Amino acid sequence: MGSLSKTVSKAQKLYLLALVVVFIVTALVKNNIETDRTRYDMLPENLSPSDQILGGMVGAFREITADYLWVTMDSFFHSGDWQRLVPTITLVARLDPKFIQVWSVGAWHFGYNISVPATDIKVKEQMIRQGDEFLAKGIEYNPDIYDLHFELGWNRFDRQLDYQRALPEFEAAYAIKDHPHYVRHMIAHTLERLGRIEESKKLWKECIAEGDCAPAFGNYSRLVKGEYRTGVPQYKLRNRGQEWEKCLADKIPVSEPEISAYYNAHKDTYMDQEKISARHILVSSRDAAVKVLDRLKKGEDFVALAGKLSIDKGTHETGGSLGLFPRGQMVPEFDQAAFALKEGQVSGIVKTKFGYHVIKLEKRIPARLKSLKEVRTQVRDALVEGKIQANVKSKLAAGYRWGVPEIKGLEKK
Amino acid sequence: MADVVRTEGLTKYYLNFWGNKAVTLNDLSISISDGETFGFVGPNGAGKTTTIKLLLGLYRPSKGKAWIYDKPVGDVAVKNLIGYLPEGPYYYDFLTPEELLSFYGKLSGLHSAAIKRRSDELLEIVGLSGARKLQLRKFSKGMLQRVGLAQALISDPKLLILDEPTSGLDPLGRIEIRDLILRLKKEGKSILYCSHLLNEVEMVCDRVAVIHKGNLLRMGTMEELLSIEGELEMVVRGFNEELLSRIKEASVSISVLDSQEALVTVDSRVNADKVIDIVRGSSAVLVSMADRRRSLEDLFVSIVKGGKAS
Amino acid sequence: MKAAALAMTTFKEAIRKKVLLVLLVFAFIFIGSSLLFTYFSGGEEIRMVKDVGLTGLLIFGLLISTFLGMSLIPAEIEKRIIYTILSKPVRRLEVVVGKYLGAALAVLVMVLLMGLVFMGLIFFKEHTLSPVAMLAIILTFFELLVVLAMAVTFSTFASSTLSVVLTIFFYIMGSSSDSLQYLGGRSDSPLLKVAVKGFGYLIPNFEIFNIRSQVLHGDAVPGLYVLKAIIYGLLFSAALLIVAGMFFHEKEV
Ligand SMILES: Nc1ncnc2c1ncn2[C@@H]1O[C@H](COP(=O)(O)OP(=O)(O)O)[C@@H](O)[C@H]1O
Ligand SMILES: [Mg+2]
Repeated sequence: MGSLSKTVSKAQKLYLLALVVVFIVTALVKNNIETDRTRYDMLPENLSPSDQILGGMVGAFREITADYLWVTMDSFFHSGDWQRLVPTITLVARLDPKFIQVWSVGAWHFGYNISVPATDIKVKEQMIRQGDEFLAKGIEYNPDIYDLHFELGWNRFDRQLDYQRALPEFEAAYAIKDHPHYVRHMIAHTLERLGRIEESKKLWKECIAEGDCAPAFGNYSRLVKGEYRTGVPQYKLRNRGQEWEKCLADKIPVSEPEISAYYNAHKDTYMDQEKISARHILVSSRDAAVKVLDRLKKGEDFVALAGKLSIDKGTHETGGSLGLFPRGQMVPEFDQAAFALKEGQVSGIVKTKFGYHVIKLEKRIPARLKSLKEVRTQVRDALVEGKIQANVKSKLAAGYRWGVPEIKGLEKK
Repeated sequence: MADVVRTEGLTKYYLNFWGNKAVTLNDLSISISDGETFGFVGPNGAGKTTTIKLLLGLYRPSKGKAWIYDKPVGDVAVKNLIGYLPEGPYYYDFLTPEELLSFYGKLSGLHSAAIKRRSDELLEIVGLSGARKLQLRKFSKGMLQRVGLAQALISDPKLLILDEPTSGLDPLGRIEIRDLILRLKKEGKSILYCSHLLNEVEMVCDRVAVIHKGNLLRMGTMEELLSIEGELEMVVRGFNEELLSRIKEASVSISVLDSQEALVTVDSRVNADKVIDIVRGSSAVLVSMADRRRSLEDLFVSIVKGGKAS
Repeated sequence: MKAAALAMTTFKEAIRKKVLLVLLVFAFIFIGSSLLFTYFSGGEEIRMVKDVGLTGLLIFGLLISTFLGMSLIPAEIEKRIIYTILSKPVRRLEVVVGKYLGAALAVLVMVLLMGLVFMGLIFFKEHTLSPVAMLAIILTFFELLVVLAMAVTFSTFASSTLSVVLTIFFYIMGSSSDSLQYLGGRSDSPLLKVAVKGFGYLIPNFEIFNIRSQVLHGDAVPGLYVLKAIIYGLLFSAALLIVAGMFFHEKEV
């Protein structure tokens, strides 16, 4: 006859004992698992403390949060909302640093989509730098992914025109298994730009031998013919100069006399051409066209007749109306006949490749010179554009490089 | 100790936020012997359900002890000897009576063959054979109560604990359940029958305990509780006015039952003798004579009003 | 045997709940919604399908487990079924374990159904079945077992609202376990270090079951690791159920 309170405490002791045993085993298993996670690289251990906190905050929903932001990022890109695009890209990368696309697409946004249209040189250059740093960071997390090395190489090769720093990245991409064949092409290109022609040639030869490209491949044959492109190609430098100088367009002075002088000198570009508005009836045979003319002569209405007889599907609903058009828009036979008519006059039979036309001229608007007032901004823009070109040209001649690094050790040709 | 149920000073109280005791059962000592049908009566909130839960180990006593078949309550093994029908129970809505009985059978540790046999038998007894494939959510209250009885009986227990088995049922349902209980009683089961419906208890119970506000007020056999000391009732047939006026002096009250019979109540043996003498000296006949009984309801009202001292 | 009877009954009642059906339909819609993101390039689209699908499976699994677990025992008390159950020769621990197993079976069925839809989607997109994704689903199920055990345990001593809040709270804590450990490891105070470490053992580390990153990035996950994670999940659930049993043993119903 055991008392109730005694059995309770006994049961509780048993429960506690079981709990302790299970807990100790669980802890041992957990320790083992944590070692596994470190060994299999399942712990994001190389994250910064702030990224650790960020990851912890969203817990199990880290990947989905990254993907959600990735989707919104896409919409920011389409709406050109750079202010929100930049932090979103960084956030996605921090949430899921193994998401390769975010590094490459993000760097592309920085280096091109944001930087190219930027009208402030500081922003432009900062974005280019940010693209470079962003990729370098992506590589830190994903050193074994060729894409990121290649993207960084490309960014330096194409956007920064910095071949010296591009080369090691292309080479790193090449060292990673499963890289595509164009990685080697890019190394060859870069070597050529760096003036290491023999190495470049050797590489192209290898490519051809291994079937990576055909012997007639443009770049190789150009090299063989001795048309090297060492250093930054002139056209690249010119393009870069234009992009940079455009940022300074606001500061280029344009005077009133300059504007009117330019207008007077380029009046032909500011002409409104002669235009006519006409109707036509298209039939398939000369006989039919003759009948049309007959009926018109008898006083039948052109519009009604076009609606009944014209085989031109596009216009027979609108009484054969072709609207306003300048010279040169229609086939020549038609053009000639139509422009020769007087207002209200009906043509004879005009044969074109479409069939037989009868044309009626409705209205003629003669050619006209647009006033300076109308085209002022156009004139101004043309002047500024010209000045930018001139600036680029003179700066190029003076050896100005718009921040493009010199290639050391490259003999001047 | 051959008692089926025994309690010693069983007490349950709750401490409220301020540390005050709310006593729901106070110092209950009862025992139920084998084969007995024990009624536990009291108004709502008297502590009947509390007592049952203490007996089943669903509650822990604040003080006192209780045994069932000499095992401390809560003992798992002894539970096979108990069949319990809770107050207003629900069961799994989507199960059929068969599935439900199979479930409880398994919980009682029965083999499936035994369960099958037993549940067929029980469904027959409680009159649900026709509804064995019907989901319980389609059952009426009375049907659910009968399923509940079947569930309580699955392991063929010796002790039945029934908490308000007829509450919420219509008159016909009550009669059905009552008949079932009487049948079980005849089979020799010990029954603890809790109810606030007194005429039911009166009809089925051998012994009754009356509790109110957690206190046991009266306990005894029906006879002991319901007979009123000294008072007798006599039925006289073939009376006339003259006879009645002579009897009146010796009696407490006279009520005419019909044109033939009258009921005469007297307060002592001496007065009874007087009445018998008067009747003998007339043309009337004494049909019956017995101790006067009151209804449980009368008793109940008088006890509860008078409190423990009554 | 008795636990099995309790489990089967619990399972039958659980899967007939309309709420579960509704949740399942929403889960299907959620998982399928990844098909709407069609403007991505190939590689990203399948990443989207996998990420949304696996996360949907987890979220709806969490909802199902939490709500099943939290009501498992309180609903029995509410309906007074627990009285008849406990009036039979059944131990209270058996009741906890039996009901838990029944709910676990219901969760398994839900996960299987969601997983089937998910794998079908992947097959439709990729024309292969991703074995790592399958492992991820298996691990999610064992993660849900721990969540279920957590909800059951809380419900033995807390109100249903509090149980849900506690379950969600500890789920979030458990999901941030890695970060917490990392930050604790960097702390200068040895006391804090030990406290954080101990905390890491007391709260299940749900990140152990999270291999979604591996699925998305096409990394392999060793089979042995999965096995260990499963054992961890089972052990933690067992520990929680012991606690639940301990509370339920004392509970006046
Ligand atoms: N947890 C509790 N705290 C305080 N009082 C309670 C508690 N549970 C029950 N009671 C009280 O116990 C009393 C006895 O109830 P019960 O045994 O169900 O009565 P009966 O079954 O006789 O109608 C009721 O007045 C009820 O208010
Ligand atoms: Mg009651």
